Amino acid sequence: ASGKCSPKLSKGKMAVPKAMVALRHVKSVMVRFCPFQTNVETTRTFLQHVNSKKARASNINCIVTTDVRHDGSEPVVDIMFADGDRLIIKGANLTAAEMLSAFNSRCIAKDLKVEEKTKKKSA
Amino acid sequence: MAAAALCCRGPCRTGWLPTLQIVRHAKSVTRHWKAMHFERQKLMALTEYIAPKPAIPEKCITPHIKAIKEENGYAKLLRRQVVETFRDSKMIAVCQHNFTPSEEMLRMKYRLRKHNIHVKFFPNEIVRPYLSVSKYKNLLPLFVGSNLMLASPEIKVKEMLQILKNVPQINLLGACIDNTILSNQGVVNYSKLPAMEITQGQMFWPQSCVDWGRAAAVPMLSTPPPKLKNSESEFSLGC
Repeated sequence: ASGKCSPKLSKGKMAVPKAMVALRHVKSVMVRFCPFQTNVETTRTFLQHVNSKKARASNINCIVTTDVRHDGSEPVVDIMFADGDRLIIKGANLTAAEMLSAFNSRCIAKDLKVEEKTKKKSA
Repeated sequence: MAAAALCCRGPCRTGWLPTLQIVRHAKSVTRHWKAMHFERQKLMALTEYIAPKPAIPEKCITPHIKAIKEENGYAKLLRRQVVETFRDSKMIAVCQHNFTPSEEMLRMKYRLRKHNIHVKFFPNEIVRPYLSVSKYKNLLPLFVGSNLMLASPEIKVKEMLQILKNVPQINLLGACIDNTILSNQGVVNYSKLPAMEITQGQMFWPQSCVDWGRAAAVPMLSTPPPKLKNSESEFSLGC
């Protein structure tokens, strides 16, 4: 049978809150993981959020690459921002919510910086 | 006069005089519950029967019979489909499924279907219990998060990789090809291998000889050794 299975069969599963991921200030996102490891779930969830419809629509020019390896390496997310900043998240011992909140907090900080700059320019 | 009063309609509506009030059909329901006399109420309360309570409440003695929860029919169907997919497919590739626009997904499905590769979506809650008791135990770590499976009764690795190249949202995680579990890199290496006939020909026939010799040698590899010896001598004259 093709097509997604819509009935929810899982019960009591901890779900990541529907966090809005905005890639406005992001130049590129590189997600590296080894799928045969057991500590990869959160990184894969993060990748799913970064590749979501709204996230992709926020910045079409953002390059999201996935590096699937089989070398037992730890899952890593390497985010390069447009202003040259770099954020490396090692997802082995983090939850998806923590990874998303760390990423979003930096995006919000950059948003505020941009707003301040525009205010100064207009003033 | 009396008849008009009994009817209680018409001119009587302007006002009711006590002397002209009708008696018949004044109230429709007359048998009301009448409250007991207060002393009788007290007596009834005092003499009320109180059943003796058992020493151990029944709840503690009788076992709580849990209703047998019937399995969801849809889950049964999906499980059956999972079993059939793993049984009938020689090539099963597991991919990470990120958001893909519907048009791209449709195009990908169409192109894969041309090579007899089917795209399957199964919930992890159905697949994981099956995998844990089957020979595909080592594929368990892949079934986490949002996945899709590409299943085919034939081994068409090259074609599958070519199609997946055009869909960056679908990331190949691993595959089980011909009862062998391969990683992403393993699948890529497998796709670069030459065909079986060419490999057999290279093994049997040296490179300096003509290609038609190799093609002719391939069926010989399936013959038993004593017969093979005679045919070898026939072919060695040609090389």
